[in-house]
Amino acid sequence: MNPGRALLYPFCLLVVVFILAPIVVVIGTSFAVSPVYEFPPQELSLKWYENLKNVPGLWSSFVLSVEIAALSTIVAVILGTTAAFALVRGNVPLREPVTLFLISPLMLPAIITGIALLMAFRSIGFDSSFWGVVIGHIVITTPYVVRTVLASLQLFQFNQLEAAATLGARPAYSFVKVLIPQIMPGIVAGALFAFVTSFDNYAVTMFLVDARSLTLPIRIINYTETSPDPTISAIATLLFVMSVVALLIGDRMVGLKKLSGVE
Amino acid sequence: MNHGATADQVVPDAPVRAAPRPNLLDLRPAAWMLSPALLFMLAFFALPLSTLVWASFHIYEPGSTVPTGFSLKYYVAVLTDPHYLTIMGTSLRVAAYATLVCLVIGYPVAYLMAISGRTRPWLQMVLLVVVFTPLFVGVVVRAFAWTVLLRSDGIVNGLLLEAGLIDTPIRLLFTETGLVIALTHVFLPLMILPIASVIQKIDPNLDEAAQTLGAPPRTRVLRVLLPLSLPGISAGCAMVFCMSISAYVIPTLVAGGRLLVMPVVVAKNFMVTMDWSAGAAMAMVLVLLTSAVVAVNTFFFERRSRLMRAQA
Repeated sequence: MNPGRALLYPFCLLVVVFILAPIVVVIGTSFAVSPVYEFPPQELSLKWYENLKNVPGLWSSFVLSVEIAALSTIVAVILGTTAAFALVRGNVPLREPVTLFLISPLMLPAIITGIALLMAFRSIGFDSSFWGVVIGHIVITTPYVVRTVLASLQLFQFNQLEAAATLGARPAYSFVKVLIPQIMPGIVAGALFAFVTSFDNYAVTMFLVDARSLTLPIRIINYTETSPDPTISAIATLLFVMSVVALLIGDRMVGLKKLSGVE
Repeated sequence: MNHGATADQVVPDAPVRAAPRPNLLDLRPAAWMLSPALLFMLAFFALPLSTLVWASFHIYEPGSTVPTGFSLKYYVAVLTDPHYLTIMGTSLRVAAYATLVCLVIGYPVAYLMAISGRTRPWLQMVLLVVVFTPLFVGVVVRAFAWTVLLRSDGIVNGLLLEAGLIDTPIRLLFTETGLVIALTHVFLPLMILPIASVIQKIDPNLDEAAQTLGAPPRTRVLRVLLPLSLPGISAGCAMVFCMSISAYVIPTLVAGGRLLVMPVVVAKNFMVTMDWSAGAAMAMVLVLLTSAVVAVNTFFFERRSRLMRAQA
């Protein structure tokens, strides 16, 4: 074994610690008594969790964020799946540029998408905060679905649809019963990325919300500016638990390797 | 996996077909299914973006949303005014450092993740969980975590003091160093995953062949492993650089708006000073920068690898 190999393991261990440390520290501080982000906590308490109910608007922001994320995910899945199907099966002219265009919001800084929508909405006098945010989130989440479903469709053997037809299945039936189940991993992966992206989004949302409908990320960041106490750690811990649940769903339905692209 | 695709192309045209092709299942007209997504993206992405491009060439009185005339002066200002140049310099420097650090600390992890797939699947799974989970946790939570760690009475300072590396707490929040640390942490998975995925596809026989031919470990890394993993390195670097230079939440929380980077200044122009012209011009510079990085990566690596696949 050469010296490079021997160093590989301790080095990677350090990087793993670096990746995990912030999350561990935040979870630790959320259970501390001290208001100054104490880690490791000397005394344990749930007081910051109890304080969650004293944060005005926290619950309504959470509900709003879930609504927006669910709505934009549903639309993104429909738009993304149909588009990916058309790109693979349809006789689409300029297939590559069209694909690139549909995926391009992923490469554009999110803040630019936000500004562009702000200017466009202002110039036509559209001022629904809720629908503005939903539209913005559909724009940034659809590319994920297009990408993951395209990858799934590339593995699908389309002669199965002909086999189904030979056996008497109508196109709509074989579409739902043969195609959809097999590309489900791609759809689920896309939907998960879409939901998480929308739920966490700040950079597009901030340009499109009004003061009455603040999403959770905006509420959190506003709170850190006004009263920086470990209540935020408690929120962060709960969000972390939610993310782990989402990840478990993804692992069960798609597989972690496929989800992360490392296969 | 590609066998499926070739079989698919062969079967429909095979001469053994008895019945004529059922027209109902000829899903080629499926092209129309593209229209919902395409129309939506044209209306709510392409059109707004062209509004932004158009606005960047026009004059808006601060506070106004109606242009009063055509002008290039905002581009000139953004590209020559020392105030704006400093901001761009900070942005470029911070993103470049974050990319470099991600590459240096991420490559070994990606390598271990890739090679442990065959011999120790459990290790690969552990690394995958550790690297991938943060992506699901969201930027807001992770950026907030760094505001806790980087405080002058925070963990990082505590550790440095205890290790005797410093005598008094150093300021990390609101500094470039702190920002680079946070950006590195948040975007590290985007460096590791593409590199791991590329290394995993490298034929292990190549390394063995180099070994048989007497290449020492260093040569095998420099002349075999690194060149073959370049597509992953390039994709990872492009992604981390673009995400770092366009990050808004992380500089806002970790640098508190005191360290000016491009997205923070652009947002301020649109939200606070309502100076659309300067904001739009700087936004366009940001778009051009990130597009250039993406284009370089696509041109040199993705196209080439696609060509290679097509030839194989």
